Amino acid sequence: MSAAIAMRRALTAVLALGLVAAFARPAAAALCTIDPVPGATLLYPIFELDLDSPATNDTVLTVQNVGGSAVIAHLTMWTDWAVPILDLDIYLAGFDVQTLDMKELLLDGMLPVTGSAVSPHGPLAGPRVAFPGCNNTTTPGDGPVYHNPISSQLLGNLQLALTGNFSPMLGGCAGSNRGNRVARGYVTIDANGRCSLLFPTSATYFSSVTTRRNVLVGDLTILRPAAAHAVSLPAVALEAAPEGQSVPGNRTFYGRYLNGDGSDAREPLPTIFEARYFNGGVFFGGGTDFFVWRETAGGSYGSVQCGTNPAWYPLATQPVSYFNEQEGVSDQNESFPIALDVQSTTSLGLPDQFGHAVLDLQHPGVTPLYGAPKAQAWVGWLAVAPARFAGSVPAASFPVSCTP
Amino acid sequence: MQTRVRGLVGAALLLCAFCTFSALPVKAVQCAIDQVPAATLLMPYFEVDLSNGSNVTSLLAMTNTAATATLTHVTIWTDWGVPALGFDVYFTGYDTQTINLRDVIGSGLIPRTASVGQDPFNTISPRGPRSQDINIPSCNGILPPANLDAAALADLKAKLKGEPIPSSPTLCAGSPRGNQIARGYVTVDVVTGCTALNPSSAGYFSGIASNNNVLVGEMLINALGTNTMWAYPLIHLEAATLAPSSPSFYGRYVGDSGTDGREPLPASYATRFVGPSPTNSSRLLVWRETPAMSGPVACAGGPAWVPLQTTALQLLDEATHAFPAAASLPVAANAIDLAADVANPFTQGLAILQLDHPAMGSRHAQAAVLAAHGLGTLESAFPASQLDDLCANQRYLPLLIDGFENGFVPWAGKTP
Repeated sequence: MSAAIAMRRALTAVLALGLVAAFARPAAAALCTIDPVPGATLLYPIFELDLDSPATNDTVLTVQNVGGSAVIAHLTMWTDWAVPILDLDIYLAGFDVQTLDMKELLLDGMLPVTGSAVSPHGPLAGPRVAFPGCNNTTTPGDGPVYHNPISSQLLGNLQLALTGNFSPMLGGCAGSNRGNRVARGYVTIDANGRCSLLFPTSATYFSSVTTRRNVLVGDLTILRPAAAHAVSLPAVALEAAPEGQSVPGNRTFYGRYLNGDGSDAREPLPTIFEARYFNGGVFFGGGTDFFVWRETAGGSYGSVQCGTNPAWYPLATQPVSYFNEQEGVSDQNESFPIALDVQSTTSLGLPDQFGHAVLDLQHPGVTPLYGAPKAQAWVGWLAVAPARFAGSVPAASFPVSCTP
Repeated sequence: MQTRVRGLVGAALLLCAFCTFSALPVKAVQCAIDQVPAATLLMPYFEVDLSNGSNVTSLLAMTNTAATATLTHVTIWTDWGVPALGFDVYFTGYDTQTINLRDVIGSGLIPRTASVGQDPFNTISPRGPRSQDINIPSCNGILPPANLDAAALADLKAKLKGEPIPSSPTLCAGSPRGNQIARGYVTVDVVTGCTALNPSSAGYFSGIASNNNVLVGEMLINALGTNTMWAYPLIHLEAATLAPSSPSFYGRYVGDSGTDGREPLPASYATRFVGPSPTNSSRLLVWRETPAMSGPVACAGGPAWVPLQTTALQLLDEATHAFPAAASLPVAANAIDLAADVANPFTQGLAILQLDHPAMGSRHAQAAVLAAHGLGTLESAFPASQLDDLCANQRYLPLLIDGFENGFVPWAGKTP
């Protein structure tokens, strides 16, 4: 029921965003560096699930609470157009771990069942916490004690949205249609202090339900047994500034939903990345996939009429510099036009087999928000040796500048 | 379908893009181990099975992110933290170097690079259209490097396998493991000139090492015979001029003066584990800071600090049951299987490693942790999450107390 309501809310996700005045204060020392430490928000920048053949392409997410007391982990699933289509709450006891298999979620319709009354509490897990707004009973219904499975109608709409098809619930299309049945999107998980049916796009989300507790870590694993590989990536941990403080410059991860006021207090992501590529040779005939997550801004965050694109489309992309291992360089006009894009070097027409690429993912859509041309992004790469193995690593980035 | 625009772009656009990139400020933010250009790269663990070329090897790939040429010094350390081999690698602007440690340790092949003074026609170190190429006179006679001769190669192998060193048969440089697997860790520092010194040498950080944060890189641990590959970012250690006595990565070699300028690593980590089960297992690769050693020691005794004290790993299952698992991580470069090497009652969950130890005296010991999972026939890998900040001396527990957690009870070993 809660998930269904959440899905329906996507219809009205285009709400006017409240302007919450923020007062800039000095930030904690480790803000504005994307280091692998516990965060208040986790970004899982990609997931994929082949709806017709989940055994060949599936993604498993895990989230861990490394704090000693319970927290509500609020999961939001986004399409590759950055449209939120599902949210749910996960009660994590102290030092709790939750695993989420996209197959179970998007094919079987099974949501994680947790809660103060149903989640085990080991000896180190701290006391049970009856968070406000939560179903703190053992009776399935509202989250986080979900009634499973979710309705087939909701499930079908999730699948349609994540494959770029018309969703009756959304009244339009919410993602790119790639001509296949591979559901693709990304996930955010926020450390919250109460259960809610709010998306991060909601005007009151950051003033009513989120916390600044930097206690979450996580990872994602893409499983492709038929291709003989699996790869893992750490979830991108975004630290929040301590209570009463701000991220310098108020350029924050969720700033696009807050008119740049910085009230989410989550550190921002970088703009420019350096990624290795392997595109042939003895092993890497499968080339390298670039996973590119980008901040969108401007226009709505809901569905649009199928056959059209969001107002912000396409996100501008600076020419990508492909350096080979002899320092020769080829600049190519690439297009990473949407919030989550996956492109393989096998189709990019690179002249060389090995090297590194510099991706400047600046686009002007964010400039009015931050007063500066600093669009956020994340890049990972996946090199594939067909039928043998693969490896995936987040791309290196150039330091984040939080100040305008 | 999304449209894609490809093709050559105009010269003006090229120039503009290049200007944007080359003008990037590379500002070091100390005390956050983020994956940004750095002055030192740490490969915290490597293995090379010298018995069979299809067995495991380790590669490190490094990129100079600047248009300016740079020189680096690579040091291969044994699992006792003894420098076993050092060599210089020159990068022209935007250069990439990939080193398969099997080539170095198995065959004695040193990467061939040279600055313009030793390579005036750019036949050794190519120069791209955007790459600066400079002359480093101190590299005359050193670059391009000679490969190791048979005696030096035999010594190197013995050091990394923990065997008596052929040229000094009473001395050892690493832990004896009784197999053909070379094991250790690697550091790569930006330097100002070619050198025979290494980070454990007096003078290395007073004129040789540079604080120029320009390197990024990755590492691969690869076994062709079993079709496995684990990929990780190298650990990027940014450098800056530090206040006197600041914590620093190479503090053990500079009297904890902070003069190396490299940000320190944490001591506590968390990572998910799978297995032990018939199909799943997890392996952790753990680097631990060890007291300074500049050379081999008598095989009979070994270093006085071996074994490093290891706090029990805190294992938690997905129902938050906890189990303190006794573990041995006795040296600088360790691999531990959470199924075979510890008593692990769970099938999956969270492992918390608190790797501080008293061998560093009055200060905390640094560490780094990488994880690898066996998922049936598949393998995946990712770095563990850091839980504290030794730079600011924020230890794990204080770091997580945020007001909500008042009353947090420190660890108490309890079984499920």
